[in-house]
Amino acid sequence: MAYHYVVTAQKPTAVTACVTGNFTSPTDLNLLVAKVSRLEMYLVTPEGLRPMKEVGLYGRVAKMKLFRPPYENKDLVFILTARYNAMILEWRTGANGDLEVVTRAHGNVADRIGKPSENGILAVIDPQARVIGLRLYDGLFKIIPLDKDSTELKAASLRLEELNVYDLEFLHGCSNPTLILIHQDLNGRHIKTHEINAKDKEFMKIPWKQDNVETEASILIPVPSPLGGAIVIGQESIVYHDGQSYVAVAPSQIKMTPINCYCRVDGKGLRYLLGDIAGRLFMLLLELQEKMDGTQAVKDLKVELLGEIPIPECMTYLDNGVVFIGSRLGDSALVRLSATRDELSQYVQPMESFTSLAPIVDMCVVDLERQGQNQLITCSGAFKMGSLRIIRNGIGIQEQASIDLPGIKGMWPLTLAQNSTYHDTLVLSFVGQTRVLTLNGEEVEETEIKGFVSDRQTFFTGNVCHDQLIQVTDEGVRLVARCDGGGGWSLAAQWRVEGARALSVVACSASRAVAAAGPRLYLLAVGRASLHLLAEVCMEEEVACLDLGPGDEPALLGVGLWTDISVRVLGLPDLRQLHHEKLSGEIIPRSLLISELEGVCYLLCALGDGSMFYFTLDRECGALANRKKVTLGTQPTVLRSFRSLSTTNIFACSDRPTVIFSSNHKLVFSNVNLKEVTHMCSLNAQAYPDSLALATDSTVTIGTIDEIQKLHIRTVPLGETPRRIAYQEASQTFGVITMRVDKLECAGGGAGGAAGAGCAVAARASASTAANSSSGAPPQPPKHAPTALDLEMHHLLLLDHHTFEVLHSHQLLPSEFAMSLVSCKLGDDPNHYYALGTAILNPEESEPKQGRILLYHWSEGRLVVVAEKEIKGGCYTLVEFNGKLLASINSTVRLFEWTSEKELRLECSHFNNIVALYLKVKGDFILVGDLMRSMSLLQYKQMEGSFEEIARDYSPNWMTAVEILDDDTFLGAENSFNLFVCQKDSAATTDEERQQMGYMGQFHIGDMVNVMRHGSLVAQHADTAAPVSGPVLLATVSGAICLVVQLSQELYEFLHQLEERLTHTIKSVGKIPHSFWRSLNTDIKTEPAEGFIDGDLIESFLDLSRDIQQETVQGLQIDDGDGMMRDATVDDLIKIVEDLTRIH
Amino acid sequence: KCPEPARGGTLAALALGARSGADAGSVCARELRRELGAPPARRAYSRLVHAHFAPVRTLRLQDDDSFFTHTIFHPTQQQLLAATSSGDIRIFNLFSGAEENSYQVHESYIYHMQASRDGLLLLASATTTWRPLSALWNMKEFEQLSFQLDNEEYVEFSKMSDERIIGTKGETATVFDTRTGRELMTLTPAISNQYAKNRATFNPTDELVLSDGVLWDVNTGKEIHKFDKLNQTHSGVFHPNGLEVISNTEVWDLRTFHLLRTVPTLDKSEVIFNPTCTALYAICSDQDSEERSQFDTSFKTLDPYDYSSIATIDVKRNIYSLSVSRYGTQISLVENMGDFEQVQESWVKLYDVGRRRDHDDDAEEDEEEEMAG
Repeated sequence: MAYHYVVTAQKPTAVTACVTGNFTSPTDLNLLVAKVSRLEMYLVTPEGLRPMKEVGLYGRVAKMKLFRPPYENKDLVFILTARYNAMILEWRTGANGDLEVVTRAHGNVADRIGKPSENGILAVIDPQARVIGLRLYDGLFKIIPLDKDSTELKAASLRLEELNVYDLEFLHGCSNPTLILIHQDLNGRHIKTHEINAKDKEFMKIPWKQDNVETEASILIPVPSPLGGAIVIGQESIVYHDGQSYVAVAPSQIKMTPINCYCRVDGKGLRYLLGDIAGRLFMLLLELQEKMDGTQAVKDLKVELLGEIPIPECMTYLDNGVVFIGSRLGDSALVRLSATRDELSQYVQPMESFTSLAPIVDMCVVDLERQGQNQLITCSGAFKMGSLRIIRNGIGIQEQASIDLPGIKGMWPLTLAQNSTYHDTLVLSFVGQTRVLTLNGEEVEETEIKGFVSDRQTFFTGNVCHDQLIQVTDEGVRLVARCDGGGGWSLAAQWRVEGARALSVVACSASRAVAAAGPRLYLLAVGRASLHLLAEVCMEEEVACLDLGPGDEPALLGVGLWTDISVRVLGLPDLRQLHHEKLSGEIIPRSLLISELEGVCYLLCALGDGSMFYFTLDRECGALANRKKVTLGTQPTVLRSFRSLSTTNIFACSDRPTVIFSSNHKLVFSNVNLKEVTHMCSLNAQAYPDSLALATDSTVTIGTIDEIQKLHIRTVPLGETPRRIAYQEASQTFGVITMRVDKLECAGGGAGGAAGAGCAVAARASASTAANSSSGAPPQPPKHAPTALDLEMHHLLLLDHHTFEVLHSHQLLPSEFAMSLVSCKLGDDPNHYYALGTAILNPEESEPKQGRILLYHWSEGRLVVVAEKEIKGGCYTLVEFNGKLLASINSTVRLFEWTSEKELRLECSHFNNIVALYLKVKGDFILVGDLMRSMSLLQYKQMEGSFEEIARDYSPNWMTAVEILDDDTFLGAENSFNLFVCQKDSAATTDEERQQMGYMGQFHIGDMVNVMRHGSLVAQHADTAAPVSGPVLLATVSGAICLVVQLSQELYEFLHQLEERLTHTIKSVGKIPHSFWRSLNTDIKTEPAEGFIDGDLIESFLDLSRDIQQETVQGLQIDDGDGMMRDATVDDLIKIVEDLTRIH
Repeated sequence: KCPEPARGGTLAALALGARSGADAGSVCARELRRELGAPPARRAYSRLVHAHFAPVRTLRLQDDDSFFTHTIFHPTQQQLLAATSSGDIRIFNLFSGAEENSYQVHESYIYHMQASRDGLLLLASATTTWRPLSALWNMKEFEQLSFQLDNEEYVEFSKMSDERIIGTKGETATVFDTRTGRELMTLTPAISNQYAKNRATFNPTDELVLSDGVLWDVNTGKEIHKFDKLNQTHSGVFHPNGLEVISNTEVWDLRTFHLLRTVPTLDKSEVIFNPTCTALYAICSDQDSEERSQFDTSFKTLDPYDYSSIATIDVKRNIYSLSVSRYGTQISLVENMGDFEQVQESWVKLYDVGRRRDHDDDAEEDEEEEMAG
């Protein structure tokens, strides 16, 4: 048996629907965004969007519509999922002040029989909120009457004469709900209206219709009263029609690319925004004229191009010229429409961008920085929004402000104002200099504090007891106090170090200061206007770093020494040595910190090479225990503690800045999305609350820190569609296959070209046009008459593995698709090559008949074609296999060996597929993922030089990704959004059983998985206590990244019980049962999920209140470690679940 | 005819998504679009898959005195049931091809079988020269169940469940309760259409029955509509979408009773849908009147959305029967050589749906040799 745990590491980012309304209160303006199976509620504020609540849905959102019933003073949302669960949701502030999602009504509206419409699900709501209309199946229109008290959504079916409906809407201002639709029959497309009797649930009459509108008309926009009627958007024309008047325009701007979404700008319905599939935004204006009877009528339609936006899936107008553009092909955005054009002659200004990884088409897992933590490089986005994303687990800092100031050696915040809890001053020290900055609101200005020395480097400064400031420099300690009666400051006391050695390191608490000069340690008491030496000791070696533990007296002092490389713990006040710990190695300790995290006292000591030791410190006896070592960076590291969201954390400043925090009494190390930090301090200023000040070599940045455990994403924009990525360590490059859409420009007769000949030109600058060098097929007219105005050109790009600069761009032949890419080392040849598989497409062929496998060598800035092999089909996948090249070509799997003549020679083939789309290999085994015929396992027989089919899954699964989990277990994803695990049974007694893979698990992941790779994003050195193994990362069309790991049977069974309990405790949005959502669902069957634990559900345990956790745990049995079962406690569960959260 | 590719290529197909309908073009381009989030082009893929059939196994009778007449896949087991002209049912293992069991259930030519969804019951119809004979069998032991369907020429189960059986004798349809065998209803048209091969059938929701070209309401037992008779043979079958009736070459709109289209490809053909209703198989077995033994040597696949032809597959032998496996991944054909009265060679052949015949560097497999041994 095989047991798996699947969890989302990165939630889906593709925006599938958005609406604006007053959802959370009658006065709140909200934006609601649907991202596949998640709903995000935002508050629209003058400062931008503020996230309010995010909830998961047990279904994929197919349609989301807002409406306001007459008895409500705020808006409700109707949602229909892809599996036909309908629900009406309300966002309500609960008794405890939390925003909660209330399911007002729900129901499943599926029919057992019916032909799901090819044009997809359509859902509309009557403008007076009397009825919801659904078109799910051809020839049927369903209505759900909206009654105030009904909690059940029940649909009644009406026979719809029109079979092929492209769009439908309800018209405004009609006494009965009146439908308008675009439908197609043999004669063309027509619009028609139907009046509905909602009570009797039948169509009454056809108020008006218009035959033969534009053949590509596909969008209807109902116009609000008093105008009424509807706008029909076609590919070339826009028509307004209200039954009487008919106004049509054919604006040239919209001709090139189809419009695919719209939103209304004003309540009157005179202005609309239209978005096209190339990511252009238009304004549509209705011009009115007064009729004889004094009413208004539409005179003309005007269309104006506003500018570039992300390729929209949906958009919604918020307020004040601000529009949210939702995309599923890249980052979504908030844009502002301005009254005037900017220098790029755009009316659209970007305001905010929302990172989206969607669609992730391919990825590779690499440890580029060789620090034991993988990064994921994804091929994300498409067309002009194509990019590579570098994803790693880490914490983000949001930059709020930055000041250019080079050479900072230290930073401390001060509070100078009386009775203030905010910091208002930042002290910066430099070599031989100290500067003081006042934070005045968001402004920063340089100032001076009387009594401070400014011509020396400060080692420490801070607020200390009796409303005083302390400043420590190499010459000694200064105490600065407030002048009597005034706001000014003056020197109140001073202590100078004696002897030749200057002070070098210091640590302070509110009433104590410890300073070291060479090997000598001085303990000073800070009093009101007084400093006096309490104790003085001489250590065996020079002091390298020190820190004071919490408390005044007694307290602990940690000291790191030069030369003997040791850490000592001394007790205050007599500076008696309590503990001595030798650190191994020869690297000097550079920074030492004593910090209490979650009630546990730790001593951390960072060394000059970026590694760090940490211990638990016994506060009573000063003993160090539980010694551990981690590598944080490669440079000397400075440790600082800071407070964020009322918890204490530690920041390790180095070339790989790291945040160290405690979670469930364990230290967790998380990267920070900054390249380098030399110094840092917390800063809680009025304008920058709960912030950090971070210094690099050249700047000081003030920023806020993210929540813990968030993936950090960096974007490398390509401007064209990335399709495959491969990493070649030997040449320090990434190879990326991209597709660029060029515009075909017809050369006129005057240009000397033959009539009809065209030349493709790049539509916009992108990675392949901006490469440092380029090669490949020259631009030329395509052989076949172009069926599209756009020409898709495929390229191989080579990118530097550090800078991601495009080093080279290699163009393939026109009509040649690049399909697969791998970096490989073949046979005895010492070189590393990029192998590229292509298909040559002929518009008449449903399957390619020709293709090529090309071998490239990149060295010294040149790309050389080493070999070229013609193949009879498209090469979907290439894999290095035993020093040979394994390829899937149409229905075949073929192995090529690399001969000494540097040629690819076919060694053997296997034919038992429809289209062999995916290949994965392990040892001599090959897993094949087929278009329809699920997965099969081949074995390569070395001696015979042939393939043997070992086992196969005989179910018709349309595969989208496969992976080998272990020798017998295989993971597959198919196109109805399911995951399944198959196992081969080598020990079976009959051939029949051996040849047939058995199902060991199935699960509805609810997203289309495009790629699977072994690996995990969590650093190897972090404590991962969860007993899981074999992590595999999955990436999806909607930009989600999931992790699948293997579990022991015991853990599976335990988690399964917890899962079962959680399905009862956690109320699902829309009342969709969890078991329904996770059940395997395809065209031919629906079966319960098994063999998989839903990690997203399990992890939601941590979000429950303690009471509910207690309730959930009730009666759950746990193994106490030696085989005895006992009742599990909430803390047991928290520990188990938290361990699981740390695997991603 | 193929729909025109959408303007704007991949981008348009992707952004317009579901609106683009069945798209033509290469499987490569389609995969590219799917990866970027275009809805799966199920229709286009179904067309691709149902254009190719690769033979995988040939099953033969050990004795020569009879020949295969009909075949079905076992609904739950990896088995194939094949009926013969001498009235027995042979059960073959799909993996090994071995004949696992043989039951003498009738005394003559079995021309139709249908298994219940749970694989427990089997309906079989045989012809004798003197009287029609159908029976319901327990598939475990092949014992005939207690009640008689003796007088029915043709029997099949209801569509939503196996609770009812509908039998046909001439122009008359009779509905039985599967459990008790009780006759629930008899439907005889006021004016008969005299179809040569009337086969009464339930609609997908079991609310309607079509028999002898007449549509009945099952609840009331009343005639609803009589379709115009435009052929001599087939009364017609319901399209699984519940909206259409296919009666030989005519496709009727079930709601308006208007003629939707005429599909000449379906002339004289038996129509079989695959389980996902993404493909329609048509086999022509023109058994009417004097030319009783006309069998076609090819079968056709059509797109059930618009009845456009996908492929015609010639097997060079008379096709007596076609059956589709549970998930539509394999089909089995009864292929016989020679005249109906004197079949020279008979076998059941299994084909993988969607797979091309192995070719290329592997030598073309000789079908004769494949079954040797």
